[in-house]
Amino acid sequence: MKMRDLNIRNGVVYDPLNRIDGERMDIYVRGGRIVETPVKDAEEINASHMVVMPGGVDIHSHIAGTKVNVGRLMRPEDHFKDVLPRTGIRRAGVGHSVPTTYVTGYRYVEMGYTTVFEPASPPLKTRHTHEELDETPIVDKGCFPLMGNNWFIMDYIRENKYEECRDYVAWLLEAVKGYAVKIVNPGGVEAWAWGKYITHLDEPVPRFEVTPREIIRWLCRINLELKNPHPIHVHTNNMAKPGNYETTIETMDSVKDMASNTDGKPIIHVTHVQFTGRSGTSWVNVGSGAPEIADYLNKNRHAEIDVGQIVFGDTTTMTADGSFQFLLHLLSGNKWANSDVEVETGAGVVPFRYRRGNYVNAVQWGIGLELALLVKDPWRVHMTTDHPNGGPFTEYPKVISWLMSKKSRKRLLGKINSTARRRLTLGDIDREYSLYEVAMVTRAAQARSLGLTWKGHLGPGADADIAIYNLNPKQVDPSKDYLKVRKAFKKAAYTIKDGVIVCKDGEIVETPLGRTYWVKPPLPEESLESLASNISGRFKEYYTVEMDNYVIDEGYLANPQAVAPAR
Amino acid sequence: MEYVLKYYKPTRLPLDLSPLSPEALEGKSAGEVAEMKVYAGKRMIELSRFFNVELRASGEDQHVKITIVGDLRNARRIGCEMKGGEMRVVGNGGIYLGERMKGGVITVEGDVDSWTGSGMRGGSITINGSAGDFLGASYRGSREGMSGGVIQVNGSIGCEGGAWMKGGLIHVKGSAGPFLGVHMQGGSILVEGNCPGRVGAGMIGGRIAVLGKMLNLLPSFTVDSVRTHADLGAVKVEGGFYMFTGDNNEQGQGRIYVSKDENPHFAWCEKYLGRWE
Repeated sequence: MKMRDLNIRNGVVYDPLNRIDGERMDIYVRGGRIVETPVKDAEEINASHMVVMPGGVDIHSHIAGTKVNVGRLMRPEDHFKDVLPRTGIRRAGVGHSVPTTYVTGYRYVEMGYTTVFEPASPPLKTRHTHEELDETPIVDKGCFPLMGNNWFIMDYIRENKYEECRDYVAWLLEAVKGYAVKIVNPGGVEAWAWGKYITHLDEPVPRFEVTPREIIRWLCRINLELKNPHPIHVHTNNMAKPGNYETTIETMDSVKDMASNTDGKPIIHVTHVQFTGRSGTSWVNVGSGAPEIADYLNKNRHAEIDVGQIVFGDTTTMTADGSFQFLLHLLSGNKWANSDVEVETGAGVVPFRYRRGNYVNAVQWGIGLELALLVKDPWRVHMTTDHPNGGPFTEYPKVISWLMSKKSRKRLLGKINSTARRRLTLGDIDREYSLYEVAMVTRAAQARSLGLTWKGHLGPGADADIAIYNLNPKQVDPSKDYLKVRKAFKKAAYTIKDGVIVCKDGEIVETPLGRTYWVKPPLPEESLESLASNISGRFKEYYTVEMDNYVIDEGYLANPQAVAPAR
Repeated sequence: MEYVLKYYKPTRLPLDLSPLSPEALEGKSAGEVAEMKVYAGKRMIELSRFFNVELRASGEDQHVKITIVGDLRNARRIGCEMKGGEMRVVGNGGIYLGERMKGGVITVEGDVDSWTGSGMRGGSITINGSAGDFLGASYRGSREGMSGGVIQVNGSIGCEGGAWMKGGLIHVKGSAGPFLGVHMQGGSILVEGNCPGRVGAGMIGGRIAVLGKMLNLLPSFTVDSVRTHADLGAVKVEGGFYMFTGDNNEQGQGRIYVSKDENPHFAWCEKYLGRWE
């Protein structure tokens, strides 16, 4: 594979982090980085009448790990529909909603995405996650270890040992080579393992007697003190239950007072809010809580969300929230896989089909779009489908076209369940995203939220991750020709990763290996020693593995890159 | 027009004949068909390497008929997703014959392997020999079995015939293997021969009639009545039958008709009957 220098000429550039909105300009690449001046003897790419954006960044997409693999095992009928034969360059693979690792990498790159984060990895099983991430070609990636139900952390909170807890979180991030603190249904997965449900932020977790509010607050405080690049990544309690928008707002509100000294950067990322933004009291009158959540976000700057938009069709749901998956299994009657990870968390997998005619599914579809359209600041709302929970990531072009075109929303709104249509406010929303805003919600905002300062923009010094789409913004009106937008975003004309052209006209032409990012929090030597003596005894008591086998050596990863805390 | 394909050079590689549907061949010359590429093992190879293609046009007839002559045990997906026309296999067929077929007719002179007519939507398949397992079943992991059309097997079938079936008719003149109509949701199965048992496990709808001997019945079925005929929707069969309903584990409404004359060991259930018919 040859790293070429490139001159990309006359593209229409959308680069929100550098405030470039549709300017016609040249981009120069030397040695895998973007530079200011034209490069001699470089390959010329004519991007005239094409959209040039930074490579896409996906903050929340379940692409690797044990539960994804369980999903692969239990969905032969999903793979069978979608077979990708091998070519001279790429490997064979299958998969619609839970593709194989190779197909995952290829499909992301075909859409112009170059960075993907796996958002839920039980620390004990992160070795497997890294093995799969290493087999995901081209894209840069990382994973978020799950900490919201960790016995050690809950014990520290009960015993009020803040310093030990902080050191443990730092040690855990480094030990499993994770990127951010992920909290899934804080306390609720553990409670469900005891046959109980957590329905409120102040309800104590059985046996530990700590509340979800304490877990979120402690981890948020620790995260801020460790100066991790990404805020805590929270999947709230009461997922998917009617009326849970209150829990979502309460979760965001619970850490509001800590936001004072972070110069306006969000300190909490609430994920797939479509699933946690429902109003109503039962499945019969479930409605959209999106206006209330959007209102809260418009008034408060300390929180950000990703949407988790659903796309109608067949998919596989998988979360670390075991209790939610059990609920979904009871609702749908579909096959169900469940797992408990010792000391740490649980997980579940249920195949699901979102139907237009189904009232609840139609409301879900509306909630996601309402959220994206009602939150005024696109820097704090990220476009995801929570792949594969809301729909496979290959449906992103559809979601983009819904955001960009009222006409396309109207068209689908006419086909969904009529009661849902009456109760949703989506039909009255006139806002349409511009390409500039789309560049924000699909790459710039996510790179900024992840603290990847060298990604998500096209300024000098940034990684040369560039997506070029065959769409002429002068001629195509996205609000009318939404099908052209969909087509353009489905197959990028060029995807450039670190200065290498990896995809041309939607076909993979090179398959380099991407990096795996992980965070190395500052941890003084003496606190590491006291931590080791502190937890090694507990480790023997609680775990079935030795502590030495638990830690993942950096050499175990194919292409690791440590990120220093930067906030 | 009739295309005759003679399998002159048998291969040990698995052949994927799914491109050979009547719609795809319509209007093509024999030479063009011979140049079509199919998967043989992992490579795409021209049909002419294995088949002699001959076109017999008979006047104005636009009806496309494909006749394949030879032992095609290793040829999978014959008539896959076909929508109309006719296919005839003179010899044996392989796995996935008539998979997800929507219309038309497939006739096989010999035996076929497993997954025949899996996920079938319409049309008809006639097998003169026997069929393997999972006749008219769903694809592995899927809940969408056969939902329309007719499969007739003059020989016997293997296990799990009609699994997850939703509609249509399976008519077996010989015997059936265990787990006939497992998870069945609709449609009807008629077995003229014997059946070892575990019929209709987990069924929630549909009708199954066994005219021969049936070894046992799952305890999750309730005896409903004694009937003078088995009503399978499209077909009615005369004779004395015990009718059972179930599977009660799934709160099912399925019906199983078991021949009264052939199965005297089911007489125990008569004491549970409320009234005689």
